[in-house]
Amino acid sequence: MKKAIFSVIFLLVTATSFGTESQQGKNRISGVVLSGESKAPEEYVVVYIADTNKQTLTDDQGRFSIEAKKGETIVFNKVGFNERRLPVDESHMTVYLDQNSYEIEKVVVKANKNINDIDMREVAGAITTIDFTQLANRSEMDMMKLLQGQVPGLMVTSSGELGSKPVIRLRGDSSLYTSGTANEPLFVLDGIVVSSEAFLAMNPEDFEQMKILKDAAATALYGIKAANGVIEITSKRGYQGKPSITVRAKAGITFRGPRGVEMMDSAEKLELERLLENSATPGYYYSEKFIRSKNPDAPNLNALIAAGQRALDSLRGINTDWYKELLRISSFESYSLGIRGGTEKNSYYYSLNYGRQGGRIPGNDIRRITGRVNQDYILAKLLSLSLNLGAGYSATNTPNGSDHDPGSLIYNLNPYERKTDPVTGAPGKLISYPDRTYSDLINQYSKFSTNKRFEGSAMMRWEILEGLDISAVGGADYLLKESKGIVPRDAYSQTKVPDVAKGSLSQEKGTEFNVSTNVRINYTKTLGDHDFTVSANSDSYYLSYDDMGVRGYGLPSKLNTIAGINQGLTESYRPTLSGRRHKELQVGFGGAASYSYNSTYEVYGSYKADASSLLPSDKRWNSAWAVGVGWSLGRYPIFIKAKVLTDIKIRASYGFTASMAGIDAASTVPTFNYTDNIYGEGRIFNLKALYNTLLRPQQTKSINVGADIVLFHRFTLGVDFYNNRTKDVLMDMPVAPSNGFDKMMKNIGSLSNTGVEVKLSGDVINAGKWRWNTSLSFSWNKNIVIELYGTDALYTGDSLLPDYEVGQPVGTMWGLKSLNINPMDGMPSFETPDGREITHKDKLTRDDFSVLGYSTPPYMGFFNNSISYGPFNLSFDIYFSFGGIASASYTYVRDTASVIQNAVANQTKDMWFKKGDNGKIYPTAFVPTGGYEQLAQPSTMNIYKTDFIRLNNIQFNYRMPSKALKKLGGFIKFMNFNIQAQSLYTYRPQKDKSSVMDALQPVLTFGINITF
Amino acid sequence: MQQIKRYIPVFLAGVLSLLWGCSLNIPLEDEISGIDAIDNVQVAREALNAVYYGIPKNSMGLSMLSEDFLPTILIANSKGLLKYYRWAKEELFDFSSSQWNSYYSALCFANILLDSEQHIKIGTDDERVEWETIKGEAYALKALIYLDLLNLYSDRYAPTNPGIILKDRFEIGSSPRETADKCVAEINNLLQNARTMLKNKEYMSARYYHISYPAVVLLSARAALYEGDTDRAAGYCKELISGWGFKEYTPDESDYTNLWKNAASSEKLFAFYNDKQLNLSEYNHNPQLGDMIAIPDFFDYEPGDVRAGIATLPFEKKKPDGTVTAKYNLIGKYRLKLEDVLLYTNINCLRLAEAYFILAECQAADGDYDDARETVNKLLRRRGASEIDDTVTGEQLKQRIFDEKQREFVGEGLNYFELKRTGRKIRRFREDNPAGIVDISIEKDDYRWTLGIPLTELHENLNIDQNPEWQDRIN
Repeated sequence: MKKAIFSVIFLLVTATSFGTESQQGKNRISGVVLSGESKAPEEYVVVYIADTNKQTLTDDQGRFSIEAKKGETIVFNKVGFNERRLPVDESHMTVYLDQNSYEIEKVVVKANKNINDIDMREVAGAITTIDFTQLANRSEMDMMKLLQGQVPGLMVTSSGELGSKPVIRLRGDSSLYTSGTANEPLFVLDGIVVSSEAFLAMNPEDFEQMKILKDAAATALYGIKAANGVIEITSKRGYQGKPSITVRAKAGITFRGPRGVEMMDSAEKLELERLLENSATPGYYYSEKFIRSKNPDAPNLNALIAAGQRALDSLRGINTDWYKELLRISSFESYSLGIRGGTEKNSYYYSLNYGRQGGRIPGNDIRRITGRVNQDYILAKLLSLSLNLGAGYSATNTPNGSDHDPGSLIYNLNPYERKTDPVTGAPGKLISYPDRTYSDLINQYSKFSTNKRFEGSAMMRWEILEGLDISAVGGADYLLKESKGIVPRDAYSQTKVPDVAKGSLSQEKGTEFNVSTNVRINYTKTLGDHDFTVSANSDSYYLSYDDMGVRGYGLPSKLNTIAGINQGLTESYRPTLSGRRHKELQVGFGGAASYSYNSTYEVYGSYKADASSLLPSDKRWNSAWAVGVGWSLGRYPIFIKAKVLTDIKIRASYGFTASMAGIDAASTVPTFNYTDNIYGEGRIFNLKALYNTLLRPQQTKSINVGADIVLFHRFTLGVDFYNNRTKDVLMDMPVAPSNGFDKMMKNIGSLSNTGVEVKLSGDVINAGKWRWNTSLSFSWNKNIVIELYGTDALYTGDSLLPDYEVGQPVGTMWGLKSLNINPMDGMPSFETPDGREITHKDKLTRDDFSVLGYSTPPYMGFFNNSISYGPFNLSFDIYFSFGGIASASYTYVRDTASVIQNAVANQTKDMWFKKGDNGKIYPTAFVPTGGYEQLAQPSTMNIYKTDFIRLNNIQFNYRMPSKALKKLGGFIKFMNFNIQAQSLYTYRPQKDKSSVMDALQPVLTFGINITF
Repeated sequence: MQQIKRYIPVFLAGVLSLLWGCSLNIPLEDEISGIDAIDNVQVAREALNAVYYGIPKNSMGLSMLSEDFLPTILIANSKGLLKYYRWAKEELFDFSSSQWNSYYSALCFANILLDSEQHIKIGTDDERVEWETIKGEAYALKALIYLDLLNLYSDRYAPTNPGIILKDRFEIGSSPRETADKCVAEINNLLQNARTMLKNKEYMSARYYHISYPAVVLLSARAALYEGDTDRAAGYCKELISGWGFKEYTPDESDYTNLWKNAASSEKLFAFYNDKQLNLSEYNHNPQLGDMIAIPDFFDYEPGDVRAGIATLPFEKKKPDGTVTAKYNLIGKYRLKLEDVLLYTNINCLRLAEAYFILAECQAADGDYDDARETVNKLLRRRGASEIDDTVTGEQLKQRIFDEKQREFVGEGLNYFELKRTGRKIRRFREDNPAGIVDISIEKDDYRWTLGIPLTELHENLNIDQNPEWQDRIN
């Protein structure tokens, strides 16, 4: 280990010294290669000097450095881009590469990529392209979390637990039916639909680019599957040239993260116990008052009181910080190997990756191994074939079960309690959990789950005639999910269980298999200034899953597999089986056409019809269509000459998509199933759900108007305004329970989803060795209920207030206006909108409430920066969200019964205890029964803002100059060192109200990338 | 070009295979679609199991509301339970919501089954008999559901009182409540059908979890008594006792013990199969410290009574030094000893003893005190308890019959309905006072005797009205 550290230091030192030297080298050309379209750096561009064997590649910042003489020709080549040949005259060059279009005379066939990624949808579509090579450098194992704060309108919300799937939404929720994947965008890998679980577990380093399709014009080619937008990912491919081998290694530590809520120390906790007078708590039973009341006539009363004080003093001396005791600092590591290269007719990309991250709760970690093989063949002059294979294994450990959450112990254990008695070493009984010891609280549950994934696809592309090509893709994605949850025999929950049944195992195995195919024909014709393109496709998507599960009891202490289940147990402890099998198929046919005049005026239209096997045959076919126009002003002389406003493109689209989110057979036709329960010796067969034969898919009409403005040739300002109007919104609605069921899926009304997205990006500085690239984005989104069929307000439960109301945004939070805590009785009082004062004695009515705010934050944005100076680079990403509120549950504000557990700091100061206590925040703990109704409502007193600003990522890079590399032997093409920190800091204006588990775990890593 | 030609067949084959013309009519694998899914007697039996399974087994929930229990000091661990014991309206309303939904869900499954008659293929005589039996059981269960719903949601019986929602078939709608007499007429009709269909089916005591002819006869007696028709009630009881009554009127401890086990007993006419842990354990805090609820002293059994030590379990509360601080009985029955906390015993719904009490009550109501006393004494002899002596007559006898019935059925839920039907008040006892020191009383005309209709039903069914006083008390 020491040796390794020394060699790293040596490398750094030599690199720095050589670095200075190389800058003085006269024959060195260095520079940066950027995409002409996105102005983003282009990695893996082959840079070579014509007629020599001098060759290099650009790094992940698009930078290169090569030896050359004046007068020589320097060539830039990358698959998918037009080759550029430039004479060597300056020592620093900024080179823009344009994406290529097919050139019939050359053997170069357009790079195989997603076959739905046809140029014409760019005419009007709202598409954000992100360069993944940069993002992949992050110390983040979760593909979804990487996307947070990268794309305007894309929201990723994740919990603090490693391995749990984040919530991902593009332009907000499109439907009110929020369970499962109903609002998730569609994930497409190289043209093949993949599940969100499969996407989550992929290795970010295998991908080059990601496109986020947001509006109907962009997504309509995918049909109804794409109602929530599409995320397309393109994997890395080989290139024509000598093989390059890249090795990346990252290792670091993961921290505990923010505390969430500040809890009491022992002194305050004991004082609170004294005030709340629960005789099970030491703060009260050692108090003078309690001792006096219990021993009124004791002759040694003073001695008893003194003994109580001594006991309290010694408890005050213990201050266990359960946050530190229960959460841990852990480690992160990731190693990967990538090989890419190829010949004229055959190129390849291979990669392997291993990663591991430890969670802050002991027992929570993830590990992952992935591999990928991408092969491109040019079979004939006009025929190409690509094969993509990917495999992955990921494993997650978690101690969190449905009724076991070790994280909550941080807030529940008292600061004067200890894991074990320091004298005897035995775990003592706890006040916070009566009848239990510390060892009855930990290691109560463990779950181990793995995902094994294999996906493969083949794609062919054939240029039949000039302008006419046909391409086809077929692929499959197979996922095997396994999990095993164990409650050990000695867990506290097993104490009442008979010995033969102690210990339980729940093991599940499930497979998910999907096959997608797509065949597309494109025809392009140019007549003078007129360009025509037509395209037609047919696609299919087949999905099946097959799950099996076993649950059994009586696990022996030395076995934790099915072999250990006691199969002799009966009734509730009998081993149970569960299973689920499902198959569905969607087929679709579509057509699209575009026309462009002089590359200035463009019109686009597409239509797609899809059928799903899930729907009865009369409702099976649904359609999606879109039309769009684009107007590129860049060719007008005024813009060609202009210095400030150098290019502008205006886009507008209008489209329609039907969505089946949430509809299954049971919601449209009578569907029966067997339940897991039994009656006597028989099974139980019943109707699964109330069906609605009138159910229609929900339909969204969307408008998107956008402009891409280029300023000073180097800033791009993208502005998009959108409005999506969804009618026949689907929702599980309550029905009168006397019908036998209490829910039925219905089309309930229409919603409007409006938003604005602005993103400014480009180089603030690009001079000499200095480059500062920035992107600043800001987005706003609002969902409003436009219409509810047959009513103005919709109640989904037994609440006083409706869940949805015409004219109100979705997520409106209603509440009471607080008049603070009455100093006389410690109870809150409230002011109604019409100015009346109400107290806990009044019965609440609808009119007492007013709108306090919105639970979904309407404003979000990010500010991402990358600053380079020569070989040094510093980048930092800031992510923010504001405008949302939440109602604090005050879980850790304790009352007399719950004071056995630790309380939020300052409760003794902020709670009303006696007459005349002024300006308190928490009402009296001795609440009369009738007070509950008011206390449970959100009010101006207990709501808080959920705003935050987070430093998502900060990274410092040092790239070793090529001269230094040459001195190391010359076999290294690149070497890069980096230090980075993820989720390092989050600023929240409101403290002590959120949950610690919402916070992300900070990760600090050191990394090295070497390309040979 | 030659090279390309070589690839054309491969390419076209690929394209064609991609355009697979697979049918979109993929049947569901785990489920069966179509209203005709119940199409033979085996599936019909499984659909009937859904009805049995769906009916709430609420013996403890109802017993908590009756005088069967008093709270112990341990109830401090469950604020909600104490509030429920004291008839707090919020807790009663929660209870109401779960009962209403479960009963109507079970009713819906019964209707779906009965609606399927047209789809059921009957080939053999055995199948015809089995379908008749299934229908008979379904009718009986519908009657049971209606009677329980009336007991919970309708006031003490009067013909014109608002009753409950009746559902003849499976359909979505907003049905109004029928009057109580219409409900009772429907119950009688269903029971008439059930008796006809089950009469010829041989009674098998080991299949006690399927409702059988004798159980339907007892249910008919219970329904008649609810209506106040003592002649009819007495008639059913006599039929039951003469056909399936105790063979001997001497104590039989094992037969009584088998009532509380998954075993046949001559007393067990119908019990629900149960694969869930009895919610008894929710009332039990700690096997060493005792339960959260105990049984008042006035339910004590005499020494020699077979029920003593089985129906109730004596418990002594001790200090660490061994001194006894309190003594009371805890509920036994499904729990044969205190250490049994996890129980999966089938739950009695209709048992023979009830017939003796109904008959005695009817006889006493007709002034036939000697017969009434003898009817109860037969049961007491069977239990090994001392008999009611001949001097007890009139109102005193009626009260005694009532008390003995309460003692027999303690903890089984029936007592709550009995207290409601006979218009008695309910006393709420103080913690740890087995002698029955009364804290508060629920008077006989308290509005809470009739549960509130759940809010979802009121919101979604505009043809239904809330029960009196609940409207103002629950939002």
